[in-house]
Amino acid sequence: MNNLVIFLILIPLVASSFSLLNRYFPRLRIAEAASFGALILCLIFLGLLFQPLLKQKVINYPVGGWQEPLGINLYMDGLAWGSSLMGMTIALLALIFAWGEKKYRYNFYFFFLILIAGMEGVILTGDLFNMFVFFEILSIASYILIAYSRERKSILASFNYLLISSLGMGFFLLAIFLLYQQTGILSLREIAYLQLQTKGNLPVFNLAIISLIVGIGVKAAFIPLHTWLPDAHAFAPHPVSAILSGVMIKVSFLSIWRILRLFQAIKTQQIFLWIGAITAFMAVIWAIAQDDSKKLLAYHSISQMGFIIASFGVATSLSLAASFYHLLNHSLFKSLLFLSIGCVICSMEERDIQKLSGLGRKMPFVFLAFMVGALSICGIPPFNGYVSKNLISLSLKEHPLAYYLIFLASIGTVASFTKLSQIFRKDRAKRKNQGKEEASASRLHQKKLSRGMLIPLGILSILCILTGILPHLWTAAISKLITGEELRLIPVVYSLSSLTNSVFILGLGFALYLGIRSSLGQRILKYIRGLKLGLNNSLFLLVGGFLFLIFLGWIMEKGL
Amino acid sequence: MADYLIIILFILGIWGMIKKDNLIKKVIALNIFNSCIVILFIYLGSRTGSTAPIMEKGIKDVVDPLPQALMLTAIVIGICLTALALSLILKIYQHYETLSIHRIEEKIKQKQ
Amino acid sequence: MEESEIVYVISRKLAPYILLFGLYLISFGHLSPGGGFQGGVVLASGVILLCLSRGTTLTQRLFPADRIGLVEVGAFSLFLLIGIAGLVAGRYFLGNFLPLGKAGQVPSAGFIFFLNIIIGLKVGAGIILVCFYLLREK
Repeated sequence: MNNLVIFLILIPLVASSFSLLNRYFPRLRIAEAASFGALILCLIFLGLLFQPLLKQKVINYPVGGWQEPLGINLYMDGLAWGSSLMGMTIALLALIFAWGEKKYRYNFYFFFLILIAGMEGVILTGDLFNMFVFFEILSIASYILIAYSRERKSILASFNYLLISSLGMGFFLLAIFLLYQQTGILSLREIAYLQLQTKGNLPVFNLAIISLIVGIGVKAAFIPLHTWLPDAHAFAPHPVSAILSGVMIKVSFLSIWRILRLFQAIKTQQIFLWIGAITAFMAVIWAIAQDDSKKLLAYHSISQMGFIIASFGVATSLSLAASFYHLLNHSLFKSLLFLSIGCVICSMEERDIQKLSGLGRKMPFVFLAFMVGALSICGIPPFNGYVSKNLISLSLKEHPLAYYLIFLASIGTVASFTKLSQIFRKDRAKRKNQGKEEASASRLHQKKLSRGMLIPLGILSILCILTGILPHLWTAAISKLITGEELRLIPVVYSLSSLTNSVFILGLGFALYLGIRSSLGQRILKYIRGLKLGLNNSLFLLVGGFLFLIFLGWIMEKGL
Repeated sequence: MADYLIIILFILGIWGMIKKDNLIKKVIALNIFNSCIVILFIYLGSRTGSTAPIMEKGIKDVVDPLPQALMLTAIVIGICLTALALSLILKIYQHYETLSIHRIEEKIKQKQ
Repeated sequence: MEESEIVYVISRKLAPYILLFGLYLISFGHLSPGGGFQGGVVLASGVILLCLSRGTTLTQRLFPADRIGLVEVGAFSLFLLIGIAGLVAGRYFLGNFLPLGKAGQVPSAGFIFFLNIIIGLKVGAGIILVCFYLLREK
């Protein structure tokens, strides 16, 4: 039964080599069949692994039979199980969407399966250099998938991402060097064991941890390492956007989670509180200013990752459960939003918010799915965003400055999603002003959406509602999964104060939206939209962020 | 002495990636950066012994072979990244007709 | 690229020895410096030498691009097959299931010899394909 762990990485790789056979038999749909079969088989194996995981807390699988510390071990604990489940589900739904879109050749499925294999490898591995190799497999597959449509902006976005991410991975290798020189072993658990024994006798340990965080953090997109994300997620094909935003940034953050929890670096964990709060707040400001619908969603990915990171920074068990819960919820509703906007773009062939209107009547199902996603991300009961955002606010109660930054970020989220939903409403003010524009916009040719594109929207909406209905059950289950112990005190989420809090946020968000529509608001937004970081400046920001974090770590070691 | 060389190469690689205008020069700087990390591993990993890690009769004091195996993988990954970056630059040149990142960003700004 | 008679003649004489040296590096990988990746790159450099001296269209008469693609795909599948064979034979994935011979000879160290050959072929084929596409004349 333990063998099933390796199959989670092996089956996508084998299926990818099957999908290459499609080149010699172009009539049979080998690529799609192989990828669907692989993902369904992996989900079945994950289900089979649940019972052994409850019995033994950690399932250990040595690759090749070589035990630690000589060999590479795969560890499956509760955190890995939860994130594999989330990753496989979103990947299956994105694959159904890609099959429905009917314009991807066999090499799309090949790279998609390699992306999934790399993702599983990152989640399951217990060896530092193996993590580096799987991160690079993940990255190379994602560079190719982002540039798949061969338009100018996609290729430039992929190139930006390549340079920034390679620089980050160089820092990761630097961290591996520092740790290997001190301890002589590469396995994560053994290094953590050694470090806990010698109690901080390893002098360059902080530098190594900061390098690791910067290296993996380029993929997890917190400020100041976020500059590649808007272009890359906005100009990628729609299922690729969904899986990048929904799974890949979270898998990278989960690696940082695992490393920091293993090394028990509580001080470094608390830096994340401030990084998360600042990320959440600033990304929402950029998000409101965007006119391209997918770029708005991409900036929101950064902002919601800020929520997750801020909650991780407060290192109590309630906040960890809240962070993982929001991670799961965000992958569900962000994929839903990306896929529904993808449906809109596919059928209307127009991405600009200002040029689309009145789509609510033309595509009611997509409108319904979008409303489920938008209400979830704004934190409206009874959807899942409400539960996790409330838990995050409750766990941040002792840090008032971060609490207020997150509060302002929630208001901004409501405002920007009201702005995004204007493509579905009939805009009477616009029709009065620009009569000719409206007439030409309604001449936009609307293509019919195939059923394959609508199935994942339905399934994701149902999952969004399901994970929000019974918050006690879900919070207890998640806490047991990731920390192995029960939460002593689960706060009541549907209490009167929390409900009034969300009504307050909703009201202020609407007020902000009405303020944006004035002319002063439009001028400010135009200025924010013009502030764009070029490639040189984003690389400089990365290196600057690295030096700043080292400086911060040095101060915290000397001072505290 | 070689330690200073490694630090100089490191700073040179990062500086090249940030400041150079031509896209191909950025990729060359990325290669310099990767080579610097490889040299770091192998040079500082070779201080633990005195001869190459080939097991023949009578040779006892070999260097640690693990960094060398790790760096093989890192070199392979560096080659894949360079090949991918160069193909992307080929496509960027076909679309934008210039290799300078400043002019490409100006063209994007003008279009909007 | 201008034609140069000296380069053309010497590259035709030198390329087989480069391919032979690549094969030596691959097969003695577990005994001396070398191995799958290094030997594969030397194999590729033999073919690239022919490309650089005379052009890709002429070199493709000897090394056709679709056959090399087939080699690459086949080597990938064969690697996974050997790994799964280790799984089926009772041990773990990529566990050794061939007998270990005497140390210091070529057929020792179990299945690493076969893995080296497979990796060498795959890497060589991959880099040949990359250079065929990048050095293509329009």
